[in-house]
Amino acid sequence: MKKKARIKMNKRIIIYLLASILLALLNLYTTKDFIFSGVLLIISIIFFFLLIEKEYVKYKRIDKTTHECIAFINQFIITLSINHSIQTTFESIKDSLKDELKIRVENMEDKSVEDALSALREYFNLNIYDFFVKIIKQYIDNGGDILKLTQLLIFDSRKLQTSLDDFKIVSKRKAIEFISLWGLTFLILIIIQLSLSMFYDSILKMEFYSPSIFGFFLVFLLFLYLFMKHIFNLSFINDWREVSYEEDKESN
Amino acid sequence: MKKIKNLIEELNLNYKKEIGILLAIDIFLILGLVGILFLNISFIFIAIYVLMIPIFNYYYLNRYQVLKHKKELKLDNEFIELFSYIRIYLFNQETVYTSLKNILEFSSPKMKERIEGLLGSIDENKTIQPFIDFARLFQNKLIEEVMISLYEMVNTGNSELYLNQFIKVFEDFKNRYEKDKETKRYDKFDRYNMLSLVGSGMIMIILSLAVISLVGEVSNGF
Repeated sequence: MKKKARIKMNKRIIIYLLASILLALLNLYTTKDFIFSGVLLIISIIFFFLLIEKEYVKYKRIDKTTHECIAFINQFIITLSINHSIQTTFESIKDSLKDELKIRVENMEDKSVEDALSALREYFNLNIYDFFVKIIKQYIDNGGDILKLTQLLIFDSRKLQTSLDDFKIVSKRKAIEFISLWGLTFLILIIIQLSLSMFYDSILKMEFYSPSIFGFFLVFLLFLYLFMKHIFNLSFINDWREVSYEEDKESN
Repeated sequence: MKKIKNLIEELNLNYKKEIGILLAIDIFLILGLVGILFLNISFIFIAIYVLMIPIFNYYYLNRYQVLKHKKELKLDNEFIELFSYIRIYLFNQETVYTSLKNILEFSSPKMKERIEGLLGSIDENKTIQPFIDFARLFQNKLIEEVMISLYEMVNTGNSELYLNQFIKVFEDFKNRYEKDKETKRYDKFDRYNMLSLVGSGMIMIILSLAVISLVGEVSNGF
């Protein structure tokens, strides 16, 4: 899985570099100004690698842990309803876990199931998981029908998953719209330059022209950042909760 | 200014520090303006720069109202989440009082204060008033509906009929609230997409100014 993560990381590096070079080349083509194009290239690289990558890593982590959490909760409850034993349930679930979650659970061999489930709160960092742990503790203390106890919780977890998946589908569609609209804007810039080709040398000599076009590209980067920040913003999952995420670039 | 001071203190921020930051930024901007005047830059840019200073100040001071609104909204969101858990407890035959006590450990400090206030009021006053007072602490007025149905459960000793009524009232409220949030979330995408018009507008203005300057030069040449 680490190899897969490295391949994905390499793909993103290529995309960031290509996007930065494309913007710089476009600026160079429209203004014939090497200095502003060079500065734009540097700013774009910093923008993609520092700002966008940071938001993307956070987004991927929340997406991954949320899906893992919901799968874990559902699998645990269903297995427990069959086995009626917390210990057996936990042991049988371990084999189906993957990546970082599996490693964490395997490192908890010395802990009781209750403590292990509590320790995973830090990893999942979701309100719904905290509540699941509470219900399991209640089940351990008082017994009862686990399916009845967790019926509404399972319903809520499925709703959360649907909400997250729907958001991702809409985000992709809106991202395509965003790219298309700005692509048209850049096309307008190129077409006007070609149309005014007879006068373009005179326009390039005007003092304000190069800085203005450079400013236009900076505005584009600003709006791109706002848009991407909104796409990568999954705070609606844990709307009011103060969240801190461990940064684990290697797992991405 | 007093209104802004109260707002800042309500948000647990330091008034002197916030105003200090604003003044420091304003001084920096004014020094920038002085520097620009010496550089002999086009009048249009100077005019735009001067215009940005009061606009920036307006938005900086206005953000406290926005922060307060966001804070209140967070509490409404928290209410939805916590009462989702309460409905699970009630469904599992817990009493209203015990359920409210159980969700304290999931609450933020502000919400915990409000719920503890509600529990204390319930101990002293067995009427609907504590529930109404609790509902009035939130921005969303429909929370009152939920609290009334919760009170009806308490009043009738957790009867199944009123439990189902509470769950239905709460689910309707929750679905409406979440649908509303979802719509706002998706509408934000459309607003960001509209910003491409700003880009097109910028291109048009830059090229128009360039062409007008060019025509001016040609006319002067004749």
